[in-house]
Amino acid sequence: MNLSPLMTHAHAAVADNPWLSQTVRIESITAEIPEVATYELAFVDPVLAARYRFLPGQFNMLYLPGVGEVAISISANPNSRERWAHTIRVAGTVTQSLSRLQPGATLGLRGPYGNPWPLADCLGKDVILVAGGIGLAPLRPVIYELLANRAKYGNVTLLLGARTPEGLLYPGEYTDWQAGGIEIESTVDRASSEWTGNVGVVTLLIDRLPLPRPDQTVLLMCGPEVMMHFTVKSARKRGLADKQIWLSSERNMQCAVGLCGHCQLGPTFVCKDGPVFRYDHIAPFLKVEGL
Amino acid sequence: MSSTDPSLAEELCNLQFASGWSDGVVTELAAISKYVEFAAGTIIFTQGAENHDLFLLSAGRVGLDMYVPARGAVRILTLSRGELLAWSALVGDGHMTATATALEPVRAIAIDGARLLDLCDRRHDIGYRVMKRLAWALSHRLVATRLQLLDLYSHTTPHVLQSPVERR
Repeated sequence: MNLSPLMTHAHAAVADNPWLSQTVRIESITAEIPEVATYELAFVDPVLAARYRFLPGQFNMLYLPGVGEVAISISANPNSRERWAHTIRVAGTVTQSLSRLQPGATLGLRGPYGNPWPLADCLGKDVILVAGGIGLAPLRPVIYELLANRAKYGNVTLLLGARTPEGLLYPGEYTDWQAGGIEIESTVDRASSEWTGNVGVVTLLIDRLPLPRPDQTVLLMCGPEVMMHFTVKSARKRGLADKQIWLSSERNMQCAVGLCGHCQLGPTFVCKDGPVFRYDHIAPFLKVEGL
Repeated sequence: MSSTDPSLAEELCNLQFASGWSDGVVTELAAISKYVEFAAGTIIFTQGAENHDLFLLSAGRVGLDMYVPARGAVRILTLSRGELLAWSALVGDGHMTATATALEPVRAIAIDGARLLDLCDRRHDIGYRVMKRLAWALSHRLVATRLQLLDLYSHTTPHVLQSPVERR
């Protein structure tokens, strides 16, 4: 079995010089949940737009002159052309400045960078996606790819965790995803008694999940590190080995090419060797305070 | 609504609480158990009320709410197949600490709490198994509650960790 043609291509950075930002324009802004919005971007230069490709799990460096640069995962359909999206939460100086921009504004972009999700390893297998909060954003390109080639994968289940029902990301897309063959279970940490969905941590959903062939299952996750730690514990109890578990890690990425060292995690650089890691490759360093 | 069912012992074996137990132990447990069903929306028990049955959920989901003055009912947890409901019947004084509502049609095995405690007193081998599984279930729920307390998805501005050297 093969992946879609796109998935077999290496990513295509827009510039040969990895330090050079290119100008992109904000085409649209969609408010998602409080302090989170999705920015649809496009290159001003049509030649660059035609060249640009990314793989699910990769990120771009977004640059605001006079403010700074920030690494943001790509949350768009990898099969889309000329436009793509970043779902961004206001969390620091650059994202605060970004939140004040309007459609039509321009900013700089370098990318894409980083290692993608292991979709080739998922072919023919059951896939569990575990997303906590805004951690769904880097997994959304995976969802689009799974939907585009649904027959090439086994059971696909998306487990979502959020603080409240209002904090669930992309709720308007769930119906389409389910219609495309993805089971979705969501849970929230707190809710009123009117909420008929699940309440409790996302790891409980793993405990309840039917897993007909754990040895043929791949788990991809992104969310708060503590959530991912306990997700691994639950997955192990259900029979998954560490080598079947992948995560997207978040660290203070600044150069994006493994030179500055800000995102160093043990012997690895999250920007260059990640942000997607196989769990057993990174587990020893996730438990070290200060790393 | 309640009924007896010959498949009760078999279902007990299928649920995590009693999985792996010998036929003899399961038979003893089945003798003090019965199937119960609740329609969606049914309040199974209310916070503060007495309830003397321990429930093992067989199908459907149950919401647990706690009442907070000026806020009303706050949903703290939902339970589904295989999970324990109303453990206060066994380790507490029988007064429920939350209100349980069937969110969808629920089928459960209700175990008479007093008779189960009596069985545990008479048969320490069974008592050990029951309390071990109960402790596992409660510790599991405690960890989950801790994770909820951490409020992992709350929006806090990330800060750069100080190095151990700087902290000294």
